Amino acid sequence: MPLGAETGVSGGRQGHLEARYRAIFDTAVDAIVVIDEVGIIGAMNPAAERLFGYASDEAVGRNVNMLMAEPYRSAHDGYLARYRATGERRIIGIGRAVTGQRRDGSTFPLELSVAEWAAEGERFFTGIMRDVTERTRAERLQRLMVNELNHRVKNTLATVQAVATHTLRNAASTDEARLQLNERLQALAEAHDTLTRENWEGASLSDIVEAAVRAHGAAARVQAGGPQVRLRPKLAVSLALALHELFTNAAKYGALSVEGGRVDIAWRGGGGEPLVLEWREGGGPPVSPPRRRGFGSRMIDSLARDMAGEARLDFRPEGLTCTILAGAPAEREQTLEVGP
Amino acid sequence: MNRVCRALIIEDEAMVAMLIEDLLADLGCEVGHSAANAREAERAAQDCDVDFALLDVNLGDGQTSFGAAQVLKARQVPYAWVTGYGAQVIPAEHGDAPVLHKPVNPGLLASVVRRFSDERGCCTDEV
Repeated sequence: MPLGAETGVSGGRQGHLEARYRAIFDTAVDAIVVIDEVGIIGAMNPAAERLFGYASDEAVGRNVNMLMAEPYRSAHDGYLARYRATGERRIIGIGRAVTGQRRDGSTFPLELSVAEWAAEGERFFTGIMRDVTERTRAERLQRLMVNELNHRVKNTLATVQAVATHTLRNAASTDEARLQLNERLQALAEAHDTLTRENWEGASLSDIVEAAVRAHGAAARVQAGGPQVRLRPKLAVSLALALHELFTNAAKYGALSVEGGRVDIAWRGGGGEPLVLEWREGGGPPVSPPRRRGFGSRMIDSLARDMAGEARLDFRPEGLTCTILAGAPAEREQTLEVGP
Repeated sequence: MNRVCRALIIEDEAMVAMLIEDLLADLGCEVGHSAANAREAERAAQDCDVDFALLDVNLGDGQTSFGAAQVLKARQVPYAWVTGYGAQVIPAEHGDAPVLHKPVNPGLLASVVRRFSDERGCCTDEV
């Protein structure tokens, strides 16, 4: 099978060259197709046979536009005619991205470079092609991830802005503000760590609770338990911040401010059932309702809103109780997702 | 004296919603309603008696505020985007609405709110 040009001259130097190019042609990883100046295929290497799904004998003698998807397929004869007429190079020696079409009709992105050569007064073109499906996919994924990262960073900055604004506005002193701000940012970072361990796909409710218990050094005085429930990332972050406020409040004024006080955290539901999470303090000093609504109670309200449900804070004398009730799961998007 | 401006907030991040509520309160506006997902947002956009709305673009789980924006547009309620994405994610039909970027610049928010309050004849505090 000729490489396109007539290679009838045999032996000696010509034979040596022929063998050299034949070896390249046959073993190249890239697809190579040789056409004449009107676009008729003269040769196709094994890589091109694999890429397009045609045997070389089927392709040779046919118009190369059969390997192209529209709009290239219809336009290609025109491209060649224009080049013959004007000599204006749009692709030769430049290379470009086009869309190829396999025998089965499927299309794919193709990187194409074209060389022009002449033999015995005739003009030929050699096209070297590479399937760039994988690369295109990887590039798209990377773009998507960079955009998503930017979105998350901006949202996290907005969250930090919210925490900082609220803290600075409500703290009694600069020292208190510094302490509270650091603690809240730590709680936020902790929630991010938990989510990162699971690729930001979600977090188990018990992991979020455990992280909060650990961060507040309260393991010996907290009883926590409930079924396996998976939280969406947004809810996991909100819950972590809400728990942080509850723990801070308990350590300052509530059950964890005295010897012998304790906290029960219990949840039920999930798996299509409405989720109920209850925080119950006991053994602490007598409780009286706070004079104004703090960050914590607003955080808990927002959390309930995220869960399409409601939250109740009961400042009972025997101990604070916080009940968060997630709304009935009407839509998957709005409900907690339950893990396996 | 004119009535106080009422706002609709569409934002899925609880903390950010809280921040926007606080910033609007600083400007002397009331928050008429706050929605966290697309369905609730569209309902609020349809039913709530508000002077303007602040919309997050991405509401998580592939949901957006575009549907709610459509409803607000039809009701001729002015709105602004508050987004962590660039302005390029906002469809051309909503291209006239102001875009505020996260984290929110309170000064820019104030100027957008003032524009809305002039348009609606409701009142905000002078800042």
